[in-house]
Amino acid sequence: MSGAVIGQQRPTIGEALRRIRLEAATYHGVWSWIATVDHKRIGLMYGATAFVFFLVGGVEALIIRLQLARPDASLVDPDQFNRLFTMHGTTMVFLVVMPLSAAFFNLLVPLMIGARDVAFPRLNAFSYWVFLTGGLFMTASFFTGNPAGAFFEGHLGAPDGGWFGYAPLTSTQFSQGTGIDFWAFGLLILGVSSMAGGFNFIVTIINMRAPGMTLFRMPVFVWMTLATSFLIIFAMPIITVALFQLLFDRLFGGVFFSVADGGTPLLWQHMFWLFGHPEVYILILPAMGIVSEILPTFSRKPLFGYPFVVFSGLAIAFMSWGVWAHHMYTTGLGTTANAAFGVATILISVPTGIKIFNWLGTMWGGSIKINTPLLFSVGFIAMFTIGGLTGVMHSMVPSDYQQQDTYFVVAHFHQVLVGGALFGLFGGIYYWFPKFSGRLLNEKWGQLHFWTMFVGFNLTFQPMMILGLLGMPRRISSYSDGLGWGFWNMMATAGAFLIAFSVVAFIVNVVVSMRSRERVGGDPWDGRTLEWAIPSPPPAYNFATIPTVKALDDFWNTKYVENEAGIPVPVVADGANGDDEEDAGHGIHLPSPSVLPLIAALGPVFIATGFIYHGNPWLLPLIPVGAVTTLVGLYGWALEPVTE
Amino acid sequence: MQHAPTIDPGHETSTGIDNRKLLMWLFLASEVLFFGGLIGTYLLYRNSSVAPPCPTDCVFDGVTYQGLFDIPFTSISAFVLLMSSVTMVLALAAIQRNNKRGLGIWLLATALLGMTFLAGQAFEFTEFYHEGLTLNTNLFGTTFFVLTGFHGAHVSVGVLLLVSMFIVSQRNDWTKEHSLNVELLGLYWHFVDIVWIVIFTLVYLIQT
Amino acid sequence: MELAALVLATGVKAFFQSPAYVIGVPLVAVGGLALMLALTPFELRWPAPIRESDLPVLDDPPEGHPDASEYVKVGVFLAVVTAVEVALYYLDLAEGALLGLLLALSALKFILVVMWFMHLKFDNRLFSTMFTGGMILVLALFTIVLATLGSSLV
Ligand SMILES: [Cu+2]
Repeated sequence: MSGAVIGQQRPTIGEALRRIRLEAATYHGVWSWIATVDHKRIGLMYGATAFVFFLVGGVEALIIRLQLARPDASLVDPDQFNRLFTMHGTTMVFLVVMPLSAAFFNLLVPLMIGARDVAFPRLNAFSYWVFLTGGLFMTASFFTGNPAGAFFEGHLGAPDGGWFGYAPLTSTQFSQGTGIDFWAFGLLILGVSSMAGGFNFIVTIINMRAPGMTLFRMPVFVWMTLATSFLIIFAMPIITVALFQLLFDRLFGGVFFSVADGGTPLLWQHMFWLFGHPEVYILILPAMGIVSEILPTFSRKPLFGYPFVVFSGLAIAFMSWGVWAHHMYTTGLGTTANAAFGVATILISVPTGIKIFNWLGTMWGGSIKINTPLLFSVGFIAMFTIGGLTGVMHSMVPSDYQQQDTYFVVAHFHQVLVGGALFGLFGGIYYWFPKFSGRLLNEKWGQLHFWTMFVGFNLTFQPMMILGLLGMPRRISSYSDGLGWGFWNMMATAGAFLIAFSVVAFIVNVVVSMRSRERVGGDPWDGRTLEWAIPSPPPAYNFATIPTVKALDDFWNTKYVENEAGIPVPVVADGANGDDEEDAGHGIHLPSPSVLPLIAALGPVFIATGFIYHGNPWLLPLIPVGAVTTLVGLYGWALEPVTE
Repeated sequence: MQHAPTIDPGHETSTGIDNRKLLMWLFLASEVLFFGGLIGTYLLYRNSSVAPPCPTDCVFDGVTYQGLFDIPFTSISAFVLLMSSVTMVLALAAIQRNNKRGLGIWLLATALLGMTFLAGQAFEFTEFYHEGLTLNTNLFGTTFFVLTGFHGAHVSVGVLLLVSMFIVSQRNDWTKEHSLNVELLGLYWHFVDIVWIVIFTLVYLIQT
Repeated sequence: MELAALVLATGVKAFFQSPAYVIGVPLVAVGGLALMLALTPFELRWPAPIRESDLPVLDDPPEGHPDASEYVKVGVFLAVVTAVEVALYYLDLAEGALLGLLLALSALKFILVVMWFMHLKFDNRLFSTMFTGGMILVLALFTIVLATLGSSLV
């Protein structure tokens, strides 16, 4: 072997990695975040990044609404409009709701099961960095995805085939430029991130539980994380195959979806919705878990029918595999298939209904304390119920034939994803903010946020229901006067700006609250689950001593016992609640920080860029550059010791 | 690799299962869906090509085109990959008995068999290419090359890992404490092998 | 090499159209790895401190693992099954019988590898559950997809 310095022993790879390791441990400020493998920091980075993408997706939505506010508008041309709604959908699904859920998984799962971190801390960091690079890559398509294929040409690029990317809209014939390539590679990269996260959380939940934390003592949120993770690891590979097929068609002249060569575009629809319908539950189950944590706390009652909530969550996850073709009734599957998928879709509303009744039962007779997290949770139940019921309307085949491709569908899934998932996630932010910042979010601003968002939401999407029933099609960039759609569209646009205002109120709230000097203790809400047993913000090692769990809602049971009438009374000798162990962290081995996950995560975007511009001899070498970067990162990662 | 990924290495997992082994099985379960998608696509488009050449003899516009598949040849390469699974499991059996030398020999044997398989695939692909089958000739070309190509890519990754593991294990003092590393790589390798068992049967042998 | 000439002469697109990339990519990868190892300024050694092993080679495999000879027996059996499969292909059997036999034999090979080499026979039930879960899921999904598109799995 060459490269040796004469008279000097070469350091081993292990020593070199150890030096990088020790160096990383001394990082401060930004670098300590870049090298972090702490699940709490990674969770916060997930949340902050997703929120920035939320603002991007929100601006896209506002431009769409401005364009549609009046008939015959020409704020953006039809081509730009296509790109905007494609990126709005893609951003909100893959860069906002999924990573916001991942933020909660990261922040909460180890705390709720009494672990010091996830099972694979560096894989967790890798997930985040891949998400970040993939998200930036996807968004960069605005500047690169132009018809001529070169970089920015004074005209916004971006994919234009819709978030579902139906073939043949995505073929090179109908979508020139590189927008769709960025989209497909972006989703592949984001899929790697989600799958790595999915594996990690399944292993964490199965294997890292504190002593006594049996499966049926786990908080519902942890159960929903488990179900979501299984959906992710089984659904993502299917869309991965479809995206590869699309890329082979576009970049290398494959004929997967080419009708002239005997292919069928319906294959794409099947593959997309095989993934797409489980994806719907990947988006909503975490929010359901969050609501199932918030309601008991503010009703001061245990969750009504815990096993039913858990099992109906699992049933939803299971049944979500048998309903994908309800997105394809009008493609001519035949009456048998349509009827079967219709029945399956109606059946899935049974476990969903069970959950709704259990949430209502939790609040029933409770001593309810109304504040922002509870308001968002109740808003979730109300809005999600409407969303679910409109979903049942779609499951009826004849009815769906009428609603297909109208604004009624748009109204339905926003009802579920904004009124459902986003409300639940915001409720979660208000609920757990004190745990990770040590400060409560301001209640006045919070209520302003909730009420403007609630009113704005209904003002935006209920008119869309009417528009849909009036026959307004989706994805049109303008409509002529005299169709009678102007009034409702104007109302929806006004509502969209009210939602924008509510988001500003939320940002103000975070700023105001972070500046406040008031601090809260470990348990500001009188919570029920383990994360409230430790200080706020939690120390790096989470638990000074790993707790031993004896029951469901264990932390609550250390604080209260039931008297003869079944009313909880505080335990007199309050021993378990004291968290006065300072410097208890000595002797706890934590995984050392590492920059290698970040290095490994940098490769895929280079590889993707190289493939997209493979005709350009200057950009083509990015493929080996990216491959070597990832290889170096992964080999270093495998060889470096976990802890120092 | 050799350190337990739990934060406290002495800490037992809740189920007693090793974290990394659970991770590997989850990964393989998810790979089932990946290859299922590719194989499903191939089967959907079987016999749907609107132009020659085909896997078996076919007729277009009254002209008979000879089939491309060479069953004896592919049987041999399928056999090679199957035998590489045997050498892989022997590598595991060796290190479980502290036999580092045996581990090295069997790892190398597995890697060589894997490379033989890849060479066979490359030969087959170039043959097909000369017969006029490319990625964009017809549905057969597209689905066949993408399916077997992704399988070949998996084999390549496996070969890379085998070679890496050979180097690391031989330059260090591997004992039966390290056998989990071999077992995990083995799981991946056997999985790639069973995928080929399925492909060999559904794609090559069964012609409907 | 003909392949290299092909790639150089026709560019990346042709490279991917001629799917010989299956060998090209691993060749580049193995070559890259070898180059990295050759040029690395580091001594290539596992981070763990080196100690010379004085552990004797054991006679028996650890508990729950079959002996090497068992593996060889399974291997021989697998080879025989493959031979039978190929022989069947050349026998002029009725279409349906051939189909059934081939499917059964490859299922047998599949199960043997999974049970013995991947140790599912001896290992935790959780692994078998997850793996068969994935298998059943993908079979069910694609049976339905192919059926609605007027095709079938075999
Ligand atoms: Cu659906």
